[in-house]
Amino acid sequence: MNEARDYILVIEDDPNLLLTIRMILEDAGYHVMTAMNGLEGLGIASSGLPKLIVLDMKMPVMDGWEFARHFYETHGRSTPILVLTAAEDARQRAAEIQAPAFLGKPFDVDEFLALIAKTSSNF
Amino acid sequence: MHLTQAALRTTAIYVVFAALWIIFSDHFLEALAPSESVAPLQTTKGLLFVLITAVLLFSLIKSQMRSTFSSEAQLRAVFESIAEGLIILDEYQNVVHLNDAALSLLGVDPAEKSKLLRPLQEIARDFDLRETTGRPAEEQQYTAKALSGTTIRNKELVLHRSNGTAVHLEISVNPIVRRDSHVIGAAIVIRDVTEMNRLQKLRDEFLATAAHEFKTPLAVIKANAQILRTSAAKWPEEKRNLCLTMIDRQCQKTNRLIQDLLIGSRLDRHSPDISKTEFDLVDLTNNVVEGLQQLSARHRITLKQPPANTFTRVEGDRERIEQVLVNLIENAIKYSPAGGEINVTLYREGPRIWTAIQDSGIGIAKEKQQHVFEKYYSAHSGTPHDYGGLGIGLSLSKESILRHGGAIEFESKEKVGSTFRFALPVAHEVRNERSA
Repeated sequence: MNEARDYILVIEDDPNLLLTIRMILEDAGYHVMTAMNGLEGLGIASSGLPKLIVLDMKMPVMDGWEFARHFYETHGRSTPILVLTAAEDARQRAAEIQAPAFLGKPFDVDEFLALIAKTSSNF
Repeated sequence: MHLTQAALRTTAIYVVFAALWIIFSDHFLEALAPSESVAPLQTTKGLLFVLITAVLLFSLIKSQMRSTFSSEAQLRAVFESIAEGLIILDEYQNVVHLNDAALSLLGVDPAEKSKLLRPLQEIARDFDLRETTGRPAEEQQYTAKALSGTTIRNKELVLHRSNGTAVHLEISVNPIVRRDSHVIGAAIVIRDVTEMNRLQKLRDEFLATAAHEFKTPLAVIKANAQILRTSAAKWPEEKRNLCLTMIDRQCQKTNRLIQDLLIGSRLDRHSPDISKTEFDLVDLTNNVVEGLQQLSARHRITLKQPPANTFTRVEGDRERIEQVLVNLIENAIKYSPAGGEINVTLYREGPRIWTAIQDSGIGIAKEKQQHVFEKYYSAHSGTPHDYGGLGIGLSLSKESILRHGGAIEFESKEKVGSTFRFALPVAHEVRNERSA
């Protein structure tokens, strides 16, 4: 059982990027849980909601869109999602799932951390 | 030269010479012959005149007709042999000629050609021709413009055939202008650009996908480089090395992506020869399965070998066959849920050895199955299971297997899974008497 709201859930299918993001966040003092597709992400979230979700959109098995749909249905809109995407229009991707924050790949680490801090504090 | 001018000039010359002949020949005769015989001589002279002019008329008409027939024959040959569809209209917008290419583009049987020799207005009603926006096309608007002297160039329209297919056509309409500047009709040229459009679309999608694919490795490299510069200063060496290794690996991955891009574009033009060595396919498959199993702890890859004394050596390019195995097993992993089983089975069938890779993943939709081995085609693009990638893996694999004299096929059912299998000819057993 994860302690509610004290960790960041990172859902990303590339294992290298997933590891890199984990390192960045842990170094900044956050607790981190990871998943490689939407289905795994739902599993982790169901045993204790994260305070923020970093979500990649294109993943096998269950992608970002489907994850968002299931997540909202089960848990409502209480958890902010930061969309991290390689797509040309990151803003568009975030809008598609009404996520409050977005960032394109590749990204600047400081920008990423600032956005995480801002998004989790606004909610 | 103006039509009337040319005719006038010839006629004028004739009139002058004929008149001179008549005037002078009469006087000449009178001076030469006695008066009683003038009348019959004059008749003879007149008849001679008629004969000469008849011969002239005959050769004139014959040579004109010959050159008209030759031009006609040339035009007809061009008209019928070119690939583009041609429709000729007269100045009243009646269809007077159509070539076979036009008939086939319109989806009309050549035997029905005569039915189309009607006013354009009437024919247009029978064809569902639309603008690219979907609005019905106003054919007469274009032909009327052409008949007033303007050339319409490269207008793209879509023809919806009665059998449900849609053909993209590029149409040009040119006025037919006679030498006297009179517009006597219009020539409509039709080109089928459906295939070209499709290929361009595939290429654009391919490039967009390729660009997309580079972003994740770049994100890893950039982030790790930044970390190393700032926070990693206080990290233990092990951890810092991990960052460096990731940077290195992502550079390798990017390089492989670039290779794939290049191979993708080279596939058509130049197929490198395969280097042949003899090796054991079961050994190779074992290695590949072991390596891939490590990469994906979430899947269970099982390998079923043929009975121990089966001859399983093949002759070919080991690296390429390895690539094929990796491609097929990686696909099975990618499109299977975590915890799925992937069964790799090898078996002999006569002079060939088959390798089958079966997964219980998401499968391939029936309507997409025919395109699966096409270059750049990705059966899952645009669907929730679009995992990215360049879509050349399977077409490369097929090419490699076929160049080895083998075969490749698959069965798939959506939500149930897929089985891809390939066969390779076994290496000459004659040289290895000791094996079965």
